[in-house]
Amino acid sequence: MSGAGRVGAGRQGERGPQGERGEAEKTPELLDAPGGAQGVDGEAEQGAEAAGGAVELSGGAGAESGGEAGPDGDAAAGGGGLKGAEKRIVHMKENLYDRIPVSVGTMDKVIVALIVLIALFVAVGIIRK
Amino acid sequence: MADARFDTQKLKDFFLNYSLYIILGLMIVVVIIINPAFLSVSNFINILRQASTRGILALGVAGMIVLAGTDLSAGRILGCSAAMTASLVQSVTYASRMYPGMEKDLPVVVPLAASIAIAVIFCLINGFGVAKLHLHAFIVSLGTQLIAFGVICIYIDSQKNGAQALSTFNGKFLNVVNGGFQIGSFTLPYLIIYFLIAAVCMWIVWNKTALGKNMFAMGGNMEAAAVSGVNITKNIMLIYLVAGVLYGIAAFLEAGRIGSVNTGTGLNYDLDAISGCVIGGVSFSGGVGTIPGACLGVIILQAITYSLTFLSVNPYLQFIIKGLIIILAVSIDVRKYLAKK
Repeated sequence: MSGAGRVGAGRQGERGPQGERGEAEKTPELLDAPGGAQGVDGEAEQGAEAAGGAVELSGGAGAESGGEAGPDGDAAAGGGGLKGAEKRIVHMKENLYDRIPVSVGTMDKVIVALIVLIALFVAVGIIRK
Repeated sequence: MADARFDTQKLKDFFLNYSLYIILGLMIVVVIIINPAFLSVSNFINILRQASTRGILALGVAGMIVLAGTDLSAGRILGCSAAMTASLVQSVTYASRMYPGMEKDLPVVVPLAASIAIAVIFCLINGFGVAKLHLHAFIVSLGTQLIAFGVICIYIDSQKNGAQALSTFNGKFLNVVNGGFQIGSFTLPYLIIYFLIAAVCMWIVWNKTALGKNMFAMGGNMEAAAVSGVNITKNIMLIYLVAGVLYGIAAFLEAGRIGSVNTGTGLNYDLDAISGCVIGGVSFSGGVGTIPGACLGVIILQAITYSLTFLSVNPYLQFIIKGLIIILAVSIDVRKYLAKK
């Protein structure tokens, strides 16, 4: 997967200039990425990292998308990555299990309840032949 | 102290990863305690025999689940291919055979090829819908399921004597499917060997070929795979093609195993295959799964069904229990996913 990310990155980085239109602030995930703000501020290298960090969340597809663009010294390059990142985060949200709004604790309770139910039905089945 | 914490974490991970096996294993232990006669070689062989065709089906379905899809048509495709197989292997001495003009038994490879061809056609329709039209596998396969069911009904109904089950197969075919290796007083059915061969072949495809690697890459993140240069359309079509071949083989074997094919053949087999895969750890979130896991899942599910029947548990209750086991399997899968997140 990491290898995959590297290949994708270069291409995305080239499209950097479009990044100006990207709004990192609107994407909470991106704000968590180290250097994200600096990327927007115009520091190419940092911006690249920001994009990379953000995409990391979405599975690393374009992890180096900004990373490759950074060395070109184009401040907006990071932004290009950001746009790609946004797209991938949307893609990531399409994962079936991401739509399940439960915590680990709740899931544990569900599992225990199911085990009890199975045991109950097996017992009933054995008793009431 | 650190070691103790590490051990606790390891123990937690172990229970999380193998919880379903442990629960179902315990269920079988309970059955053995209630009726020790369950623990016999013949029962074990029966379970494996019954699991073999569903297992081969599951090997095909597993690929689609790894792609974060599914296949609801697998059972009906199996029924369709089994009907074709059955019509071509009917004994030439059987008066009510579907093709009265057939005066000599066909070589076994002909019905096998026909069975595979039909299954592959249906699977490629599914594959085209998913890969090219970007439809959800659930919907495409739901459509193909109905189409396949219609085709079976028309085919079986087209007999001279009306819609009667296709039965009375020639000895050569029955021997190929239902025969076995005699080892002393013990017979190892060919069906189990076929299942084993199919599993080994699929293990190689999944783990040692570019197709297998691409499949996991696509299942993990389709877009990442695409930007990495993976030909999505081609690979999805290939995975469906492989599944079609497996369905065809499973149908050929199932026709011989049950000895009579009717319009109901294959009903719910897809659900057994899917639930076997999920029990075996093939994740519906995509990109996760192993061949031994899928095989073990199918065998465990079959063992549960067999053991409940063995204990004469009401068949209606068996449906409920199986349904709950499937929900439990998915819940544990979700729990694993949440823990990773």
